[in-house]
Amino acid sequence: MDAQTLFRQGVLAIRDQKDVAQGRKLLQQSLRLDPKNDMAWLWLTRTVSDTETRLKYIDYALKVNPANEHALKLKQQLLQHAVPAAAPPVAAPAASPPQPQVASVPAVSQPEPVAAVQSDALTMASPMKPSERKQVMQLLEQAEVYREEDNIEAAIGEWVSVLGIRVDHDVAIRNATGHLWKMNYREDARELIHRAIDAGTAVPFIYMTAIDMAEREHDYEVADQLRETIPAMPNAPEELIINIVDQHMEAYKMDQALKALEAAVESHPDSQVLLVKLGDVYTELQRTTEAMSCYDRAVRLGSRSTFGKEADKRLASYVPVLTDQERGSILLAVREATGFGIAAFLLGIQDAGLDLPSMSGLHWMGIGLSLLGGYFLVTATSSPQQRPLAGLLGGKIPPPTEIDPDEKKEVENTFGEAMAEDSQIPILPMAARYFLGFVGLVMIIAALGLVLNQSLGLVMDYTQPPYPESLR
Amino acid sequence: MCLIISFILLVLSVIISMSFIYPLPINDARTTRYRSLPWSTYLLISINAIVFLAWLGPDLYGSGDEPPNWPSYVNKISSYGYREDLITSLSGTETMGGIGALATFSSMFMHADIWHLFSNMIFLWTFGRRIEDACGHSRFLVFYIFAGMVANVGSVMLNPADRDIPGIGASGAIFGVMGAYLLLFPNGKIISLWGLGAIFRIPFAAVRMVGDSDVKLWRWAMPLPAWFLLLVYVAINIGPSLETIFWGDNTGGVDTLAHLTGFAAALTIFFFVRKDLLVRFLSGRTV
Repeated sequence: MDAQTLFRQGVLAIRDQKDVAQGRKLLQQSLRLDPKNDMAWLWLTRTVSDTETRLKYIDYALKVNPANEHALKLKQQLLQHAVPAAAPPVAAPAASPPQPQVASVPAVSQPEPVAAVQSDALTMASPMKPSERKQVMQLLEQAEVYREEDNIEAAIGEWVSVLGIRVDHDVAIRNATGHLWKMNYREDARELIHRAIDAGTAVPFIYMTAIDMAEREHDYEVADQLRETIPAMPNAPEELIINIVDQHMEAYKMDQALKALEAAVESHPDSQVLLVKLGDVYTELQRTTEAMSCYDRAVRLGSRSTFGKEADKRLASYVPVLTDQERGSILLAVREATGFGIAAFLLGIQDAGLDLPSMSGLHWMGIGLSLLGGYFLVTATSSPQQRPLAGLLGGKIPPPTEIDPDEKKEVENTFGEAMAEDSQIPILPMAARYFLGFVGLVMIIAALGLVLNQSLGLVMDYTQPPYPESLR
Repeated sequence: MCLIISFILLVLSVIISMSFIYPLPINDARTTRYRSLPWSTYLLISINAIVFLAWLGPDLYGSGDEPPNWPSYVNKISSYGYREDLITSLSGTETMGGIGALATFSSMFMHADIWHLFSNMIFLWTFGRRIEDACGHSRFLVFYIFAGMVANVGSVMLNPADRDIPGIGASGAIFGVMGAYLLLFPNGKIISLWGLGAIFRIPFAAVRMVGDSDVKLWRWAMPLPAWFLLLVYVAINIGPSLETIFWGDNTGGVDTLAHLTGFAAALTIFFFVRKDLLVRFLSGRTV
């Protein structure tokens, strides 16, 4: 179903059938296909009750079409009814006691406490000296005392002092920014957060708070910039990147989710969780080949870890990927030829009356020939890229296969082979493959003649065997 | 018309009786990975069916106005079935005629009656397609023939009794395919008809029906784990096979020893599976 049809059905479900859940589902599907439908975003506001989310949807609609009058009007209405003071950001400490309303907070001197943070302060990534640790503990304890006394300003001062030692100290930054934000010193809160980010912190909370702050002030550009920057940072934690990607996906910004993950995978090449997530995004976008490649990379990093298993599970629903390592292996080709050899041996021993010592030289020669012929046949058909054989016989690296993604499914159905990654190793020339295939086939036929020599003689000179006792 | 209805009723009654105590697999619930047409499985089923319907069947059941031709049927079985006496005579100076070791091929495409053919082909249909998918068409054919040969050889060599009864049927090869399925896809699901299972299921279904009205109280066909189903079939064959190995058996009937040796032939599947699948299997990944 196309995006427009889904949109229309979603609207009908909400407006006429009063089925909000179904309407939401349809609108979400429509937006997944076409995120630039401002009316769909607007209708989506009818499916949620909280003002924050509704505002978010309206902002998306306005981003697509800034002149959308309905959206502007609705936004105005919502802003008028919204609580004047912004709610605390997600970063607000959960365990902190109820904070006084903004109006009752005594005026605090402007950003002096923040200025105490040194611009070259270290992050938590560098180890703390025992003296520093002691100092931090004392400051945090003192801050707790102040907070219990309801002297939030003084507490903030202590937390900021901690941030002077370690710019991204988890407890200190959480409390300081949370309280500063509630007291409406948003600039200060923002500055603390951005200093930590500038210092290269690896604390996920800090980045998420920065994004949250930007979004609360409807500064989506800054939020998006942060979302773009973080995944490319080698020290950015995986969970944070996943969180960012999920946010993009929730907003149906699949392109941005993809961009973020691609950058993240580049900066975290050994991260299974990111590779699996990237595969999931590709799957959502119906880019099967890339999705498989991601899952395959993830599973090759280790199949026994949780995400290795996850990748493997997802990969199991696709056609496997054939790699150059597998294509180039002589051992794997010899293994297939061995299959011919053991089949020939079994025929030979039957031809010798199931008596090993009775096997003649012809039988053994047939077995040897079947192994060699099998190897030639395997080389011509399923293993034409063995290293270094293919190169020595004048093989060249095959040109990359150009398959239209739309035709991919058709190709899978037609060829029924493992989906091929573009190969970087030489393949035997076609003439050599035909030659080897022909020689191999002749050798196998000859081998069959040798291992079954006695039985073929019997067929040539056929006599009716006596009936078995039981059937007489 | 009456004949057709009686035939359908007969088929249904046989299926019901076949699937009451032991589960009868009818389909693989999982999709294949390479999504290629399993023409080798189709080919094998077709050859088996043609050999029976066009060659053995008319002798056994008669055709048109012709009555059954028992001597011709016995002659074919004796000449092209797998017989210990004929095979072992190849090691001596005087052979006993026939087609020698080539009987290993002919015997695995012959069936004693229509039900023998039907039951074997339904197993081949269920398990063969996925193994063919895992091996590729030609390698699957070689493996199938190989497993059939192992079954023939095993049933003769492991039976200490002098048993000159022709062995026929595809079951040894098919047990090889089933063994390969157990090795490669132990977690697969097989849709099976199972009367006893359906009875056991009733109390559980009744409880589930309370919360979900779509649950059916009676379901003859159910997905069973492949490992369970295959081990049931191995277990059925183990007792009689051990009896044959220790005390010998020179009576006719089902050759359980051929089934088990065919099953053991599955260990060689690693010579026949696709290279990418082998690499995946060895690294502990899903195949």
